[in-house]
Amino acid sequence: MNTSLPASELTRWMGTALTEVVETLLGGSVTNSTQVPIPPTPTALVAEIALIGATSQGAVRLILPDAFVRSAAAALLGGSEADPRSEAQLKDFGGEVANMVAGRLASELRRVGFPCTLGTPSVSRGWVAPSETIVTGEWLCQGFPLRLEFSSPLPPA
Amino acid sequence: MTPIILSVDDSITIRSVLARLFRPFDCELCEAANGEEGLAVAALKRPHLILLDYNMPVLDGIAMLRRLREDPELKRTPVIMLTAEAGPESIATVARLGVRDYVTKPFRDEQLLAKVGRIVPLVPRLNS
Repeated sequence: MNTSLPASELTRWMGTALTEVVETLLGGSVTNSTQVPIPPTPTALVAEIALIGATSQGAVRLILPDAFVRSAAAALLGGSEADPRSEAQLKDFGGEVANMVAGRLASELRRVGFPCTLGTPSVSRGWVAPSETIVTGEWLCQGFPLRLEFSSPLPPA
Repeated sequence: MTPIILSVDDSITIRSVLARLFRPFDCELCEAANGEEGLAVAALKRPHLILLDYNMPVLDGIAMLRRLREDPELKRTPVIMLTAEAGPESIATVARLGVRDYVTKPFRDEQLLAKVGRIVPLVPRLNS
């Protein structure tokens, strides 16, 4: 079992997972945006999924701007982004996207010998900088900045 | 005969996506938000196909599938698993329980329609 992976490899997994999910789900292209730091926003949707292994646990956090969530929900479900959608619907959408991204990261972890399962999505509003050591990445989709944070159950090299 | 398809998923997003996807076809789509509700709706509606999520509260997809297979009236109902998790263990488990197919979320519309179309006829609605 590989217990040591460089952060660059984890970042590559994250980019691939986010790109596959967003492009398949929404049809929009995703580009890396390391040059565009994302400012914290109190209205951002933060969806977190635990990655549960036999001996340790990690987590995936997906931070989505509110305007992206409304636009993407309209693209996927029909209607316009101005249509009223309940907070529960918007949170469910964010949680489902994060769940799909986490599913792909779990597949990568299994591939390197670390089987894990997904926890139930937890979705809230307002991004705060994480206190633990994690790998982060930022991407742009249709002009919206998307941020992914990954506290891998594998220790980084 | 209009095919009845039961979608069992705790996500309103996924249930809405499936409702939009099957709207142009002459079929009846029923919904349930967890395995317990899914068993109740299945007993009532006798669906021709169940699209079943893996991770759900109350009763998850595997537990629902096990109970479905123990029910003499419902045990032969075809099931397609729809899930974000595609680990070899979970695929092996559902294969043993006789699922017809396994689709990883997110899926492309045409991919899911092709798999569903192999099990139930998907005929466009005359007024769509």
